[in-house]
Amino acid sequence: MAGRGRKSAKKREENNWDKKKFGKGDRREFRKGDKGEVRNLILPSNGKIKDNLFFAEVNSSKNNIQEKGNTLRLSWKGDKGEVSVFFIVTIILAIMGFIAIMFFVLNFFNGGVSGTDEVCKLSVLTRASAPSSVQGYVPLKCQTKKICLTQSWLGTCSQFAGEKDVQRVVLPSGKEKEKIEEISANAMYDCWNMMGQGKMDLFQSLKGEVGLKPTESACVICSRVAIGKDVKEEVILKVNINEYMRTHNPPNSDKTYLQTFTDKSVRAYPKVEANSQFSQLGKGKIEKLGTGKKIEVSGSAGNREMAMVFMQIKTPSVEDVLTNMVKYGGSVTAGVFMMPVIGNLAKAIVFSPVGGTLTAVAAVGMGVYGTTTAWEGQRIAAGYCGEFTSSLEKAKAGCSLVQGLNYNTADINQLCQQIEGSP
Amino acid sequence: MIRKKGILMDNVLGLIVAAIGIGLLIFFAVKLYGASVVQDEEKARTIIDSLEGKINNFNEGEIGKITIQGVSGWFITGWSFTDKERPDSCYFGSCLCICKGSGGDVKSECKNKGFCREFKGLDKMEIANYYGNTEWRDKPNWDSEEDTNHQERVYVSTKSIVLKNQLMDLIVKKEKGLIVNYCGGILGAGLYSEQNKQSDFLKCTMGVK
Repeated sequence: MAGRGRKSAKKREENNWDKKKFGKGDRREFRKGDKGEVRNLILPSNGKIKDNLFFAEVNSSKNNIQEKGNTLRLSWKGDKGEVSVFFIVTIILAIMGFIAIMFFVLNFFNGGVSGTDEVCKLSVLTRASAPSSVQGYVPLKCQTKKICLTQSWLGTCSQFAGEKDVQRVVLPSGKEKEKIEEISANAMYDCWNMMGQGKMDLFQSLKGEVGLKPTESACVICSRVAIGKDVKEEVILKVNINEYMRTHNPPNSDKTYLQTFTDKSVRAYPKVEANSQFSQLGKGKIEKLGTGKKIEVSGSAGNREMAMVFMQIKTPSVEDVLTNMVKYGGSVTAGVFMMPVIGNLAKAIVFSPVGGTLTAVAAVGMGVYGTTTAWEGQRIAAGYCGEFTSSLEKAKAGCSLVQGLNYNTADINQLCQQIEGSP
Repeated sequence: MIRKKGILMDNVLGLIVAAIGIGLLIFFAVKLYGASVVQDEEKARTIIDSLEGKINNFNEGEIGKITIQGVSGWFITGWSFTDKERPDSCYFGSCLCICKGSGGDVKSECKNKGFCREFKGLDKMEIANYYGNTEWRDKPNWDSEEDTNHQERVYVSTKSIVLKNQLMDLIVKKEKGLIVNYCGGILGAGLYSEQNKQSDFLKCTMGVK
């Protein structure tokens, strides 16, 4: 019994270290043999502060408290003003979260995860939501996809000779036409989705170099689709992307490409009169009224490479643009449009301040909607005109479009004053 | 006195968190700026790699067009194996380089920041940019009776092809060496035809408008 009494007395002595009894700054006289969890131990003899949390035993030689009757000022774990368990856990979680974010961000900025559609989409979102002053510094991590369509297992595309990361697609025998149409339509659809469906303001500042004045455009070449020499010309001549987009749905969608780009009420392209201005566009030279400036348009013959290009342009007169769209045969619904065969003339005619004043068309060769069936000649364009979603208080108006163009310098440079993204 | 210490403790924690926050902001700002620079470097590297791959696919005597997506603030230049002024990175052969700068002092600009690719077995490397550089010269066969103007404006080449953020056509000839030309508008808004490549190449190199 006596032993039990001594034990409980000792326990009571240890319990005296409880915070309820001793608060921060309290003074307590320690005796030899005292134990407890001590923090911020201040020794009056030399004034040193030990910040680390440790188990102090007054008898220990570590803390120089060996003499009976030393007076210490203590602060205790859990006291007011001290670090709580919750706080520590929060800090640890925050640090872990920070490390995870940093890992992703560093990879993102250093190009460690570059090239995928998701990264491109993320960079588009990042840029669109960034303040305009820093927007030009947010890189668009969009790499041009290179798709080679061949007929044979060993077939290649000379267009991509010497280039890396080329995706080869072997066209199934007997279904070459459908596959070419499907891949081309999907490339266009993917491009549109990756670039935020044209509703995001992606080129607000561009380091101040461009500033995107009206009629100045910036582009991203989302993909290049090339057809190998082993694919017969007669197959290519049968390809009709316009019709494919009118009658087929994109993956996981219950609407056709045409409806997805415009509205579900749209089921067909508008009819264009055979003698209309638009019907004569397609190939040759056009001249803007009074300027004497001719716009060269390349033909489609022999060109087996198409680029899916996303273009954005700032224009204060969105209504005029949309009016021009309708005039030149576009389907326009609530600012969203789809135009067959407008091709690289879109900017020159529709987006130009002098668009609509086009008078002289020296058309040569084909290019009439409804009769054109060559894959390269179908430069269908889909887009959006209206206010952009951006970080700015006042949204800017403009137009975005995605379209297939012959992959050549003349055609693409006429549409794009600036090209961003990685080749 | 006791309360003061509590306040101090709270403030110290606040200060630490604030310092970390400011540090992070600075870090992200620097990283953001660096990212755009890194992306340009990546693009430049992709361009020179693509050029190297395409040129290696050329046969001896072949002339062809290589379309590149340029990056502004960079230029393409090159050195022959026999050129004593070639940089160290071109020690073992003629080389083609993409460097950051205006293309003025090519050697020092390439030394500061540039990526070079060597072409072993090619003794000669000629880079010529005929676009945008013109001067007046005396006409070689000027006939004073028929023509009152004895001078003509001709394109002159520079040793660097300054890149822009658009597509650019380089016309390349591989014959006992490599000739890389940029003619830009000389060939009519960059138009170049496979059928007329020999004459186009001559037109470009001779600086005929």
